[in-house]
Amino acid sequence: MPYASDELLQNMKKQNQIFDDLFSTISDLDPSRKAEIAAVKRYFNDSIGSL
Amino acid sequence: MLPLNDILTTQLAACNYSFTARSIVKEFESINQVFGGIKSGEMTVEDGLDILEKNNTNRVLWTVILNLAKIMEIVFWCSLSSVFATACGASGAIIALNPLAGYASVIANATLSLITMMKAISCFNEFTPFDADRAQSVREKNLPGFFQPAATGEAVKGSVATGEYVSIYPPLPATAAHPSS
Repeated sequence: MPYASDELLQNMKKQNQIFDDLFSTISDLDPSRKAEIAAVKRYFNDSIGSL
Repeated sequence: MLPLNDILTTQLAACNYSFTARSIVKEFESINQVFGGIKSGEMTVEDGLDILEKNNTNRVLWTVILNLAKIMEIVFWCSLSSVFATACGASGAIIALNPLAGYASVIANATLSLITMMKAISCFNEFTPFDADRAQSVREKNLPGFFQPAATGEAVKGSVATGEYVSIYPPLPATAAHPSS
């Protein structure tokens, strides 16, 4: 991320943390559902990373 | 002398990156708010799905705009290529007056025509596909289901009593008695 400002990076980290917290409380998940949740988060991180 | 072109390119790239990165972070923030709202009960699943659908529409629109820009780029390179090809043909007349300048002009125009045509062809690989956005939309719409409370036995009994529960099986005939009774 060559031009990412600190503010954007911090906000992205914060959103990742919020997303993890939202889904960490759901205990009875099979691996395929966990992969689905991880894919939603990965989409945003990959989009930022590909810029 | 200042490398003005380099500075401008860097600044433009920085602006573009900042704008796009900001919109990605805002979108992430928006879906987190939707999931948080549904989880805490402040938002209904239907409202959440509406917001997710709007996000997805914006995403698809942005992809359409990028692809339209790419089509315009292809048209630009093709037009430029045809201009150079025409110039290449026209400069053949110069050969009669000055062979050296004529051949040089033909070679230069033909080279430029080929380069611009290659640019146009390479653009065909740069279209943004819709698959990733579509898959993301489906995944996002599946997520609110995690926060919906599972239907308990009491809830199902209540929905049967109020007539909300609809069985997928046809009702049994009332006259048929169980053989064991």
